[in-house]
Amino acid sequence: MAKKFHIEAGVQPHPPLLTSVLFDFHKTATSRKILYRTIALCIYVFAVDYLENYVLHVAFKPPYTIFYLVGLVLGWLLVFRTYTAYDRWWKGRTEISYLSNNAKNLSSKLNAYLAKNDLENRTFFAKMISNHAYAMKETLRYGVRFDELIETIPGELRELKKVYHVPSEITSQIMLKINDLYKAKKLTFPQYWELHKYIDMMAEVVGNCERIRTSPMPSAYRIHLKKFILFFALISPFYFVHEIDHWSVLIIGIIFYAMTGLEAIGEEIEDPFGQDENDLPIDFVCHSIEKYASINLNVQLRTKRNH
Amino acid sequence: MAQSGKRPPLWITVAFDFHSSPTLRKILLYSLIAGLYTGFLDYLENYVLHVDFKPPSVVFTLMGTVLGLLLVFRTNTAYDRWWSGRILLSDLMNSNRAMAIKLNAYLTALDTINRKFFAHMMSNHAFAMKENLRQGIHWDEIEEVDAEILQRLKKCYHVPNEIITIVNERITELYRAGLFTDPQVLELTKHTDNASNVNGSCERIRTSPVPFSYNVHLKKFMIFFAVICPFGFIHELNYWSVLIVMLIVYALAGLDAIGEEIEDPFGQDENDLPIDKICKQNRSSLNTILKL
Repeated sequence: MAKKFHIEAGVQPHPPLLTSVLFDFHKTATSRKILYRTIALCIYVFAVDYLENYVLHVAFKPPYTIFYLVGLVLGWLLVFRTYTAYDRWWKGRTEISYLSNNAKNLSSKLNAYLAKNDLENRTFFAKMISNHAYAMKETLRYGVRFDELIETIPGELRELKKVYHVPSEITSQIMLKINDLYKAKKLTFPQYWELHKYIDMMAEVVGNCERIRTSPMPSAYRIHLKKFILFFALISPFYFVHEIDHWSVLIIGIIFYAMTGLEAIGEEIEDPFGQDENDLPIDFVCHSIEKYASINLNVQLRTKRNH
Repeated sequence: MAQSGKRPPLWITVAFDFHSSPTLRKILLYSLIAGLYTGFLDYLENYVLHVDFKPPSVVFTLMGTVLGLLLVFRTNTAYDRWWSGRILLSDLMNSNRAMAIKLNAYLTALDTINRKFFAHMMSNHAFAMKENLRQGIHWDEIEEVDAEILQRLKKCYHVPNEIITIVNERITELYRAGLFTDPQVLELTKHTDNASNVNGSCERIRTSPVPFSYNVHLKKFMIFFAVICPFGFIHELNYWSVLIVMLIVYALAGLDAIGEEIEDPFGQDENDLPIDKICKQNRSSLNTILKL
């Protein structure tokens, strides 16, 4: 292995300089969404301003206290939203790193337990450990992509395509193999026992990630928050148009941009297993699991890296 | 042995320290930019243009509050990484000490070869992990391993992972030779797993800063706030608003900049974890416990 590990290769996008962040309004889907919403609101504020000051003169002006109070409560709600979304993201990150630690430890143990020339079993475990990670990754998205899985014996993936839940099936096959090795006296009792720990972990990580994936914030909260932001935004021009006229477009635009942004980002972050810019580096982690499994077990899994 | 934190410097020297670290200099720079901008705006508005745009103060109260809440979020998450990193390092040291205590009981007093092997490999693991979180291994910190093992480490992809693999191989070898009993081998592998888990978790902290969108959004919000901030003051305070805006920006940008620095706690800045010291303490502990 000529190349050495370098931490920078895995570091997620660095925060840009304080001054450069202003110009990425269009770069990600989320920031575009926020921008469009803000533009729509600005048009609305301008319309209200024009109608009120030059046509209708309704003179409806709620006191600022209401604006402040409602805004403050909304701020708290948004912080709650941010925390819960971020919490899911970070839990997801932690689970993925557990999977990767587990793969390293399992392959390191198996390397010590299996005979140096036992290529068949070494290849089996390295392959299965990596397949488990790839299968889990795509189960959390749109279903397993069998082209990513490693096939060393032609046709062995055919059976896998029929099962209901691929990661469990793979874990189960690893367990069966460990059991066979124990029965064949290739593993001693403590070794056999030790390996169970990793099987538990593989099942646990998949379950925990699925929990994060399938349980976004309760929809009652999400809908309530959206309504709250909308009403807040729709009333807000009436506080300002009489005093600062057209400038209220700017002021309300900025406040709304900040608030709707938090809401939109929360929505995006809370499912961290996708492929957006903000999502977890799960593809990277899967590749490194494959790498570590084959390095630790000292086998070659793919002739050429195909992705 | 345990190191207490540095004696805190005088309050008054801290209050006027604007330059001693890159983060502080960065904050000062942002504050100066905001000051220049305010002065420029003040001149334009009061002596040239007279646009007379003055947002009501409630706008600043609300934006300031929401921004404050967000900065608290930023601070919490950054500090959480820092503290988790600290806990992981002490986990590593505790686990290594416990492993040495067990090995000291399991191995015979005369078995210096194996005692040395385990003490050196586990302390090398900590040093290798530390530098892997930075720029790559410092080979002068890797002490006394066989030429064969050193060769293997130099060739491998990930040094800490390779060290743990070598230790696992050795434990299994000794177990096969009858030096360790069944429960002893189970106990020892617990510690090798733990060392590798700590390494993985530190890499997770190092590679995952706060999500990109939040970071950018918070900065945008801060910039917007700083851009409209002067309009609240220039009509009433004239040039004094430069001072006010600079103070506000210094406080807010400071929280963000510190958050950014703290969330990667494995570097060599003043605020980073004392990871070099912990690695050295770990090495001395292992050597003492294993009677080397």
